[in-house]
Amino acid sequence: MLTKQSNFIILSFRIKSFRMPLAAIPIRCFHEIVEGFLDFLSLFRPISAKPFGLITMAQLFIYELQDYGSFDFIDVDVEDKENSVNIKFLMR
Amino acid sequence: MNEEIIRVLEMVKGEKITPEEGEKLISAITGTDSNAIKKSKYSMLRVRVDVRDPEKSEKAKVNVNVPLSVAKKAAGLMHLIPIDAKKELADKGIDLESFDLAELIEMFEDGEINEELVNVVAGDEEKGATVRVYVD
Repeated sequence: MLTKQSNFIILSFRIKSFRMPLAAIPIRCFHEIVEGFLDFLSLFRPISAKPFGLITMAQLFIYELQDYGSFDFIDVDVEDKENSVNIKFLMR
Repeated sequence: MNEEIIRVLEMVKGEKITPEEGEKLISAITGTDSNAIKKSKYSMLRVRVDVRDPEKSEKAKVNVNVPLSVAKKAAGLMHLIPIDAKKELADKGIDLESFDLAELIEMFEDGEINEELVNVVAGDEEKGATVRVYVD
């Protein structure tokens, strides 16, 4: 089935002409990782409402970004005489 | 499927009611209004920052695109700003309590505001900075 939703978070980094993909995270894995992390933390101590709320909000953001579909979220390009750095955060 | 909706569809099929009447009944059952579902005029908030200094061979470009639906959710995070920070801003004349960001974003979505929110040009084309915040 074709859907408009994006399925991957892609982080990439370029120094001069060398592009390095930092991560291509399937969004459904991202949610599993976040929930697994919360479960893991709760083994040691109860999680207070504030960090739990923040993490839940982060998940909601990712859901919203996913629903929008494919787009370039952040694209930063900085260069001077010696260096050139480009960082991309893409939803695909 | 909801039993009541099936009954309405059967009534339309049996020509007991018109399709328009059926639609109104289904809207009443599901609590949705088809007229209320409207397509937003704009969907993306774009931030463009461009800084250039040819003397030092420095250049910086920042492009951030935020879907308005996400920006609206982010507006809901205003209550997470610490009270101390809100007080400090209020002392400087910025009252966050009176500023409804969600409403502003809705106005963008509806196309009530179709101008650029921010368009600052400092310097000239060769050396300077440009900051644009707009929706499309």
